[in-house]
Amino acid sequence: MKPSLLRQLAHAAIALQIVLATLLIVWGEGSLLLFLLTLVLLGVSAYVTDWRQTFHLNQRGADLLALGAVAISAIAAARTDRQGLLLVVANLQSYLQYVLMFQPKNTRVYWQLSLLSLGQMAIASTLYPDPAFGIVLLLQVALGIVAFALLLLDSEFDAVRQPSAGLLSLNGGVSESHRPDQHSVGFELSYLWKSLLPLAILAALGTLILATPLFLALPRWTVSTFESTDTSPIRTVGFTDTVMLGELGGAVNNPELVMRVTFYRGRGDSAMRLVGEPLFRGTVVTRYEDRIWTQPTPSHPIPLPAEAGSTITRQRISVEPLDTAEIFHIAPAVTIDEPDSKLKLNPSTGRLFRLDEYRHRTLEFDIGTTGIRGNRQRTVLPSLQSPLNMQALLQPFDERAGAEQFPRIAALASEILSEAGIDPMRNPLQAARTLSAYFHTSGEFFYSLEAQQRDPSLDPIEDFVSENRAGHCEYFAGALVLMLRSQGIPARMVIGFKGGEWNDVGKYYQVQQLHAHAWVEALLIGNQVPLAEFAGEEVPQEAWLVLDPTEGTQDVTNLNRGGVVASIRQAIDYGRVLWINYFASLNAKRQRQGIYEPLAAGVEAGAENVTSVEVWQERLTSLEQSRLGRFWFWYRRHWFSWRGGLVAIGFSLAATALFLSLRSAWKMVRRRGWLGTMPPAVEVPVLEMYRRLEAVLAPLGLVRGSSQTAFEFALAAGGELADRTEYRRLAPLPGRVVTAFYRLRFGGHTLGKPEAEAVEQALTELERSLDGHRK
Amino acid sequence: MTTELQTLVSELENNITQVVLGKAEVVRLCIVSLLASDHVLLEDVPGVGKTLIGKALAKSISAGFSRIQFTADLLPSDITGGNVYNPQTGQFTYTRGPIFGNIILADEINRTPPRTQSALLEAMSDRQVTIDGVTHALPQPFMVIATQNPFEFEGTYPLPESQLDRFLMRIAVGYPDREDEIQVLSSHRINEPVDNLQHVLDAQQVVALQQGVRQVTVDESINGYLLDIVDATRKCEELRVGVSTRGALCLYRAAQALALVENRSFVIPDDIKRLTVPVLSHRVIAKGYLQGTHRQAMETLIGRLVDDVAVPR
Amino acid sequence: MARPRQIRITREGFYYSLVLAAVLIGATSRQLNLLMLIGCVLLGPMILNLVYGRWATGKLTVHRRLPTSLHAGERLRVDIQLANLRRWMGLWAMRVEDQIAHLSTAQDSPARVGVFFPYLPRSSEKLSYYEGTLPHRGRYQFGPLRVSTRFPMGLVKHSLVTGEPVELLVHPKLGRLNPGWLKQIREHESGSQQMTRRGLLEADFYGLREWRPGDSRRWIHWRTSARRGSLIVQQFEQRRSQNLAILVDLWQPRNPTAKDLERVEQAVSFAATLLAELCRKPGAQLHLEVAAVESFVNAGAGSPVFLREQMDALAMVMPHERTEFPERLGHALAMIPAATPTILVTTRPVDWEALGRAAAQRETPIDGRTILEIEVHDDVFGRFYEDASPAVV
Repeated sequence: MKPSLLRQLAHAAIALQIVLATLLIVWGEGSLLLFLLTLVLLGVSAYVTDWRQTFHLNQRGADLLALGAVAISAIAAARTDRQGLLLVVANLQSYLQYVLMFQPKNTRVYWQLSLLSLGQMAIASTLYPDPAFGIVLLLQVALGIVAFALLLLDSEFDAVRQPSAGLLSLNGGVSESHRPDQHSVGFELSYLWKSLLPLAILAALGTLILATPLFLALPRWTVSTFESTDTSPIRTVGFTDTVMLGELGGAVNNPELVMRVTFYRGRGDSAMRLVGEPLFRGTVVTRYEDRIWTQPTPSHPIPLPAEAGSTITRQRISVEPLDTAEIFHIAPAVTIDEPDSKLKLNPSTGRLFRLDEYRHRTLEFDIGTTGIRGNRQRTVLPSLQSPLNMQALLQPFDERAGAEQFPRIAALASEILSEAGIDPMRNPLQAARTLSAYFHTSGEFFYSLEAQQRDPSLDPIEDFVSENRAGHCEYFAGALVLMLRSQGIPARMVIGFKGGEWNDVGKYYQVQQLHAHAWVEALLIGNQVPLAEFAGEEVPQEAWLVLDPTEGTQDVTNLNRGGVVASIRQAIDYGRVLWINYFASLNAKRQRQGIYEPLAAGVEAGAENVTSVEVWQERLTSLEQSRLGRFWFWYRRHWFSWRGGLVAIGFSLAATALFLSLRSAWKMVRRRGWLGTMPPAVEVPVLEMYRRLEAVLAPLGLVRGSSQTAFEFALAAGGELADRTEYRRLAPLPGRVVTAFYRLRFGGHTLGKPEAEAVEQALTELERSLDGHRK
Repeated sequence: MTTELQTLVSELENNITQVVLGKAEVVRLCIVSLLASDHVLLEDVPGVGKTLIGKALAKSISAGFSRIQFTADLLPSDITGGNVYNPQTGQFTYTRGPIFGNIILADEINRTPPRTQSALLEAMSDRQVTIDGVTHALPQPFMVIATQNPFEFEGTYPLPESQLDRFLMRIAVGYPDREDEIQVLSSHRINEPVDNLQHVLDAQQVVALQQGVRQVTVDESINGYLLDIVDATRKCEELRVGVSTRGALCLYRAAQALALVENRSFVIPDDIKRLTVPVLSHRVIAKGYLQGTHRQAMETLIGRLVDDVAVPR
Repeated sequence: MARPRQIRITREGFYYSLVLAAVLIGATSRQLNLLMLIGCVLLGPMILNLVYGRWATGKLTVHRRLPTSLHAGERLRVDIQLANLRRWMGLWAMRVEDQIAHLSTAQDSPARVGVFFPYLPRSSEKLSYYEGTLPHRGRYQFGPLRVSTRFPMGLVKHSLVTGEPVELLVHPKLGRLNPGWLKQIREHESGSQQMTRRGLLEADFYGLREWRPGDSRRWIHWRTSARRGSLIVQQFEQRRSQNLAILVDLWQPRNPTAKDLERVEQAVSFAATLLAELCRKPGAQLHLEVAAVESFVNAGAGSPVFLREQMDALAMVMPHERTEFPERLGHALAMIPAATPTILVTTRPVDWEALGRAAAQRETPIDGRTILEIEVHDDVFGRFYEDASPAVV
């Protein structure tokens, strides 16, 4: 016998559960094979075992296969680490599902299949830190409800058909005596989508509403941040430690997420947006040789310094797993709260990095910075280390031979400065700014991400400044560094990210690979350091001037700012952030700060609002001073005058009119069925008197059968009443009421006053006498 | 509805029940049939007063009354009349048959062969007879009260189902109660009381009543209920043929008439429910049809169908 | 009686709760956020199940409609009507269970039978039914009704017990009399009892009326015709009044075998069948006397009311175990007009002597009466009477 339609639908729902769970596992694992295998076996088993029923595993075969699966998994488990173990278990669950698929189905098998999917979901939860997990979970619940409701219907259909045991031979009936099969007419299949599906959706939503606060309220006692496991795909950062000119990194238009950064003023909680595009500092390169920029040898790393004196801005950086250790940030970084043991700082380069073991995880850091004043990023920053290696910062112009390699650069720099009449030795600050501005103002340089034709006999930067003045940020930055150095100003190239997309929903910067950028820092020493930049702070001996020579980068990075699509994208990204903060990595601290405390504060404020005497006094005062209050004051003094009387009458009339119109509106709403269309049985206006009659008789067990006319019902009820001595006198009343009801209902008559009163009296009498029987 | 009509109806009913004892329901249904301008078939064993009811109804109305005793050798022309050669004038003149009356009592209609039966049935449905190409209209009001014995009796020609539905109702008369029977015995001691019956209505008044019936209002929900019942007979698995549209219309008209008889200007669900069995049970054909128990089986079946249809409220 | 409202966790529900508890405890103790989320989400269906069932059984009415009269072995159809009084939502997967207990026999457990309503739209009612046959006569108790639902996932079963138990008196099983039953009884009869003058099978004379064409000439009543001077025919009514007396000696041995019990039932059924047959045409004077634990005698004109009373009595009658022939049956003959044929239904051979003695005490000799003796175990019993074939289930 083919499975019934209900069973087929339930089967489909459970198959969908399996597919969804496997999909999540595959996403985490990155192997498509398991998914394809699951799909194929689902199809095959549905056809062979359930539809054609030509093959199925018996219990012994199923046990053997399951044992085999366990054994294979055990071997695999022995060879893998703790991380791999989870995947092994997930795969084992899939294998067991395969075995179950080929067994003859009953409700128990379906439960097992569904539970195995749930187990996979549990494992997927450690692999997949994304709100999609939550959505899939809800979907799974809805599917489960639908599937098992269908199975329940199916099995109940079966149960009532089995003749009961004992001395009776009885057959259970089925309403309308048909099971919803293809040939049935009784049970309408439309019930399934008209009523069962909405119910399942409602249940899933209810589950969401119920589960969320429960989840948030469950006790947390650890402060660990969320750590996804290492299996997450590692994203390559858009730059390398070295910068090789002529090669474009993979950063071009790569929308992959690098990090999200939120800025908070001080220790506050309100996020802020910076004026202009923030420059997130990564590392520096100093040495240029053979078309390659390389990093200086790193100094000994130190923990983040604590800075108490100046205004600190907090930057919360949530960084994705990356193949480099840098934490891109607004420099200079300082410790906020307590030092983070996962972070180290290289003072010579200002490179902030996480320890290797944390490199491949999604991590979140709270770091302070003194690099923001007001809403602006500072352009002059104190040097973290002193003394600096000046030779390295002037290379290759520290040697004569080196300088000869770049004649055009040196000549251009000299030309610009002499035209501006600036002496680079006496006023390096202005000289640096002038040189940097030249790239913007001269109108000769063009920003381009496309590879350019370069003269192979020339150094690429020489070519860039003289021949082909188009290139990307590394050319601009490299040219400026060399020009500064040629004029004796120490400078270095900084690599990091610029700007990022401002997410207006979540108030944070979303930095993607395509935001990778290179800019320049020039060193100012001693009295060259502008004092105004360090107002209220200790003025450092050496300071870095931040210069960004690149032309027009905004045009590229922020092409898709604005528009509905963008805001949807932002909302989705913010949803992801919320998911990570409040679901995937909810910890004791965040639970306290984000949930318990605001809740308590809200309750407290609400209670205060209602109970506080002062608040109410304030309100009363403001009410008295309002127009209404003044009117009331006037009225209280003049209520007995003709004007006061007029007001009173007018007010009463208005109140009556309001009441009447509201009542008729309500009646209209009731009559038109705007509160939902009723099925025909109730749609006709059941007159109130008849409804009362039924209501009063119902507690006696007197209910009108659907094929009973109202009058027959009244007669039966009268008979029943007459049988009970205490109610005998009531016996004629139902008949009387129904006679009147008929005149109204079917005759379209209206009742005269005496008749109406008689009916009312009869109903009251019935209600009064039978009151004892009411529940 | 005027009270005048109502008085007429109750006078008529009282007049008949005066002589037809213990048959209040049957009498009422016959009056309903009269008011609905339709015909009625009384069916039961001999001697339970079928003829008496017909006679009493006819006698209560001062209108033309004919009684046709159907026998095996009755010819169609015995009913409709025919052209007779008049030797004095040398012409054929049309002589009216007994069908030209207002109330026709057709006794033992199933004793006559189908040819004669159909002459009557045609006259009933068309309210006219056609002889040699000339159509003669029948008078108003026109009502046939037919009686027949159950089929198990010898020498009968059962009416085909297709013709049965010319009758508005088929009514089983049944035996009277014991008390009523005693009264019957005593009242017959001297003479036949029905012979002394007085007219209470004339033909015009009957026509007025029949027009009054059409004024009775029927609520939309009642129509729905009626059609639900009709529909149930069409869907019923035990029936080969359900109730036709004419059947539905008959039930509608009968319910209106019953409302008038019961002094109401509107139809209530109870009217429909009460009339379903007499109006519909002879209009359906069962599967696996058993002649002997046919009528009762159909009445039970129709009753059960009605019990499954939801009543409007 | 059980509490009207019950919640019971099903087997699925039990395992589900186990899994749920394991997930929640494990997740909380290991502080695994997403596993906690799974746990919380798993709570949803459980709570839905708890709430839905309570809600579904909250506002509904259920009614049972029993037939007004029923014979054992006759097809029983019980209508169950369920009404959903909720105005906004339909009810899913409602099951109504009825229980049926035979009160007359000591029976271990009542039979249960259920009907299933897959879906009841809001503010609607539906009718369903169960059918079957009740094998024994006597009192049956129906109910109370139990409405239950496990919807949606079958984790929890909510049930509501409603309505008072109702009793139904089941009449004895009816058999079938062969068309010529009376004649066959008489042929089989071995005693020397005298035949009645008038044939029992003749149609009854009903009246006279004028001859009409088509009437058979056989029916002409010549004497009246001669007196009136016109042809008068007799009217007959077939098998109209059949006066009959039925005496039943309902005896069973002290330690009855299954065969003995069956015999008693057969005797009761036979008597019931006879009565039902005779009451079909009203007017017959009938007389029923049963010797049993509680003997009774009833006489009256055959009518549906009379039949019903006899059926009620026969439904409850219990066989006696007295070895001597019940004198009452002999005495009963005194009340029966001599012309009325008498059928004596017994479960053992008739002690004619004892019967004669008892009759003689009341000065009503049995000679000249028509007494037809039918012993139930007799093979010939089957010639004119057969048990109705067992109801097709």
